[in-house]
Amino acid sequence: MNKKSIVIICLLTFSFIFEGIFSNFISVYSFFSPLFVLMSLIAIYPFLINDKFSYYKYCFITGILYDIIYMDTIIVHGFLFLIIGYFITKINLILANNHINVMVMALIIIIVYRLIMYLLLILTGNVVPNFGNFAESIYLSLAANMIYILGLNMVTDKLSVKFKLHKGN
Amino acid sequence: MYQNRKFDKRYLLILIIIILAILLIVLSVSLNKDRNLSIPEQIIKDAGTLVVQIVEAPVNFVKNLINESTEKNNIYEKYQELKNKEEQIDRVVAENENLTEEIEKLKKQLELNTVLSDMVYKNATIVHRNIGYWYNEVTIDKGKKDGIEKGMAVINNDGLVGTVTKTSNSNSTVKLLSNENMSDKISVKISINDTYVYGLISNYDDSTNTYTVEGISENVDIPEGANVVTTGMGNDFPSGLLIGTVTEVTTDHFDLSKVAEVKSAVDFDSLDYLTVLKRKDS
Repeated sequence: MNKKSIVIICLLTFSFIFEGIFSNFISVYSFFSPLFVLMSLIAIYPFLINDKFSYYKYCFITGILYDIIYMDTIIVHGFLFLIIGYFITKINLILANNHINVMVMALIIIIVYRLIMYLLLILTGNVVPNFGNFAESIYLSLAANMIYILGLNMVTDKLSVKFKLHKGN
Repeated sequence: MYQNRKFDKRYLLILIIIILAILLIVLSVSLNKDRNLSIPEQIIKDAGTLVVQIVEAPVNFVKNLINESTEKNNIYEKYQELKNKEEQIDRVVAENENLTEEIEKLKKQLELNTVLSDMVYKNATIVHRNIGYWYNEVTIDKGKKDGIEKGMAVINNDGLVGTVTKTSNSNSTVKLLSNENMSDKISVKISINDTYVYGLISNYDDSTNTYTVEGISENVDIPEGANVVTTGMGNDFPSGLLIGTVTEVTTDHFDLSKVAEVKSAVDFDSLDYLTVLKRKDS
């Protein structure tokens, strides 16, 4: 296992655990609804810009674990994170990797994730369509995740310098 | 080159449609209340939750210290509150003993092994909550090894919170009553003086934290502030669990029955400790 893989696994693991812990210290419907795992998928992409297969592999495995540990669903987030991973690769073709753009990416990804999830739950009859609720799910997720992705991007910048990892764009 | 790109895009579209179709099917199956977690799922979930709990332990320690110091600031108010309660407690204990005795006598007389209100309590702490925003679920740190089973009612100090939907060896998932599918068709009774009127919860509104109770007899006057509790009918919840209090009463579209808006006794935003209820086996 090379340095890059270790850094990526550490970032994903930290975000995964931190999302669980953070959720326990905020109220259920607060302005700080966490999607830190999703944010970490944005943060690790620059390390794997030349190895998209590995990137999708990380997305899928993270999604499967997210399903089992947090959601009690089967492979739904595995596929969902693959789709999100695809969107991240496409957005990275348009936007350069800097702090502002990373926050824009986070905003787009939160909207895409909430939209897909909401549509799936409507189609399976688990949620009654209500645009207000959908909009609420997005704006409640913005504050914490924007701060988190900004912090994560700063950390990955430092790590790429410290361990001489190529953070491409 | 151009043909190759066209080929890729066409197949990509088909792939996306297939993935979405699979997702729909899998999601329907996964979210089914009757589904049990498979053994590998249980093992991975237990291991993952254990890691979260271990990392969370020092954070919890600090949180408890902060809570303790905050409570110490309000110690005089707490003392006054407890003093007031203490004056009532002897009367409540005596009443309770009397009622328990009466229930036992009636059970013997009617040759009943259990009554709907017979319950065993199991306290639990929330490990993580509502990560899948739409699911309205929390995970608690008690599972099969603690005797928790699917379908058990979950309460907190204020009233009914939800029901256990999935269990693994050392933790369980609790679906909150704030979930649209959960609060549908729960049988409840409204306490008016010494009598009860029956109804069904048909909806929950998260913006006002209120339930809508339908199918209430048209001939009864329901005062604001009347307590609403579960009836114990059906297999979901034992009787007598507080749901909330009536805030508004209207009639339905056909003027055939009354509709009550019931303010939930539980604040779903701030849940920390829960109690799982189990009906006593005969």
